[in-house]
Amino acid sequence: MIRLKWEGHYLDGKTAGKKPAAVELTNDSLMIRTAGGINLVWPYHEIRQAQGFYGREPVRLEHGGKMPEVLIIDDPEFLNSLHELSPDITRHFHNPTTRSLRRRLTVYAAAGILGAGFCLYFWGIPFAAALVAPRIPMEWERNLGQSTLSALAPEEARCKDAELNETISRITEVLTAGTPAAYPFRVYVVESDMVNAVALPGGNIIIFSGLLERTGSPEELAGVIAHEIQHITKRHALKRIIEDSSTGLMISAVTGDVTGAMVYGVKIAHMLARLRYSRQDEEEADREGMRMILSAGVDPGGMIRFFETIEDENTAPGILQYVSTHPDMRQRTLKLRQLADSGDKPFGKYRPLPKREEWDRLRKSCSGEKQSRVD
Amino acid sequence: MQTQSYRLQETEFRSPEETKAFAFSFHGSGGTLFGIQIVNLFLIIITLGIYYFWAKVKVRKYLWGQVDMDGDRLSYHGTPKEALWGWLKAALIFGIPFILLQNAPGMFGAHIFIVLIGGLLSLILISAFIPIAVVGMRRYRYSRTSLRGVRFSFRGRWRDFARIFCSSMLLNLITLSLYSPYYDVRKAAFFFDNTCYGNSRFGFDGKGSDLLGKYIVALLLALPTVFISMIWYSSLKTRYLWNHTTFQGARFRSDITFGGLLWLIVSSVPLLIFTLGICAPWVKVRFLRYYLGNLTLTGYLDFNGIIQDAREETATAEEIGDFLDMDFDLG
Repeated sequence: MIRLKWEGHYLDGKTAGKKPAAVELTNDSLMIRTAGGINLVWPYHEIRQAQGFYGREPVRLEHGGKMPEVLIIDDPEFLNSLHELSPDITRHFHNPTTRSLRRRLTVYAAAGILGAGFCLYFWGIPFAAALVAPRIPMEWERNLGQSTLSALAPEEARCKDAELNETISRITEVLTAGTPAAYPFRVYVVESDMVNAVALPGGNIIIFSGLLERTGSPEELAGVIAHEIQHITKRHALKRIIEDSSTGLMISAVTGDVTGAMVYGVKIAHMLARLRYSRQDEEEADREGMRMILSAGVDPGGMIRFFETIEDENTAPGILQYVSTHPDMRQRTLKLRQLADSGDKPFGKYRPLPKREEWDRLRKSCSGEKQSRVD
Repeated sequence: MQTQSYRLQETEFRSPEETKAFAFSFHGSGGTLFGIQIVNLFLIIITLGIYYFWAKVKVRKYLWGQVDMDGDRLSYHGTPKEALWGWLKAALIFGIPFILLQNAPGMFGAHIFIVLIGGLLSLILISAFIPIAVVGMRRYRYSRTSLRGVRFSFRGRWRDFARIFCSSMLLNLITLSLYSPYYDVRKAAFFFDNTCYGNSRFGFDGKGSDLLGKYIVALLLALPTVFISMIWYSSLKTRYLWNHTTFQGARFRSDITFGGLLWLIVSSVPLLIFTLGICAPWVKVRFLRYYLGNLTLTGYLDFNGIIQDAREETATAEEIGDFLDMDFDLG
């Protein structure tokens, strides 16, 4: 039912004085009569609605330039009557009957966000990283790696044993002989108890003496080096930086307007994303590393054995495999075994790597130095 | 006796209708805010971020419109276009230099020394822009806020705030933070003394020494009470600052209590954590309801005498504040 007469308040935009006003709807304009005896006619097309878009909110109408006159009508029903009386020329006013539609659209938007987030997370960001990474000049990459190298492997911490270094570079040569080298690979052994190896963008690989010590043969070390070489040729570090910053960018775009508290939830999501992407990288490095070992004619048993040694040392509970950087070790060795079995060369006829007999001494040569000094 | 008779005279002089308590309240609902933000998020994603400025204005228009003083609502007049323009200028003079200083040396493999210098310069840049942003955000937001059709304005200059900010930081350091109540009061005085509604100024008459004793008590009890004493101090400080704020012949009064604030915080934090922040709009609404629901302005106001006196401000500093992730009041 259309009601034509309404009560409201009028503000002239010049002072803060507020006057009660009687408002009447006509076909094309509002007739306003204020308590002070001012009569106004506001054609509908000259009126802007500024408030009253949500339930129980008074309707605020503005008329005129920068500091407009204002009419406030407390009863939101006013809008319904307005739309019913002159539907064609009041489209720029909010229509309360469309609110259920708005609610539905909100739900669709929520579904859309989930969908978009899902797509971006699983395909968009990795795709963008894969697209951008090869286009980054190698010079940048080398610089990036160089500064990390001087931090992680300072000159004085590098292992000086000439025989060991010679052996390692021979192993690296054997591995890369078949393929045109995209990067000048160089392996540094650094004295440290950590059982770890790091691939730096640009071709440098750092192996900590703690890891070296646990390798039972040159073939095992070759497995590690092959794995790290794959991190470099597949530009994982670079991709990670791109993925990280674009996830961060996406998140900050998304939360820009949400209160600070949202950040906590988002940080967790970011961390999980990072772990997931790095798990994918590890799997790729394993796969391609094994392929490299096989095509170089090196015994794949070494790589498998090394991962088994590590597996025995730290058996992470099954649940943790989804949140840890390195894929579950058991699964990892299983996959490696499958790959090795599907390789062309049968077991037994592998290319010998140097210094197999002296390996026991070599693997300890770096940590051994420390011991002899302590002694 | 004398003051009492004087007061009597004053009330006789003014009719009882003119002297009254103007109560504040907040009408917003968490569900509506959440809905607005969800739609905003969706549109931000599909427009690759450009909708951000429209989203921001939409949220503000909603929040401002829910603030009620004795039946009159605030209104927000900022536009997405000026926010976008402000953002572009902020990016040019602040964002890009900052990002370059912080990242470029490392990216191009400069010496570690240059990387450190870049980082240091970017920090200096931030500190230099903090006072500009603090003041500029107020200038912009107040100029876009109206009540009863009349705009607010903030007329403080960033140089004055920089002076207060820098000297206070230094004194805080020297006095092991004992200066901080004085800083809070100086800050409040600077903010309120420079805030106008139309052509009328707000006033502030608090003194730092009034808060010092309680601050020391709160500080001493901080460790034994796992910092709950700081919540006590915060409730007390909020009350004190409002109770010493005036406008024309009226004085503000805040009735927030330690218990009320404590419950608000204790009940909201787990909510936020366990819902990964999805509840944030509800929490925001709860806080605004509590703070505004406990605020009144009592005394005499001459609305007809408050004359429109709006200021032009740009959104540049506002967007610098956005880069710095600063926020206050309603966001």
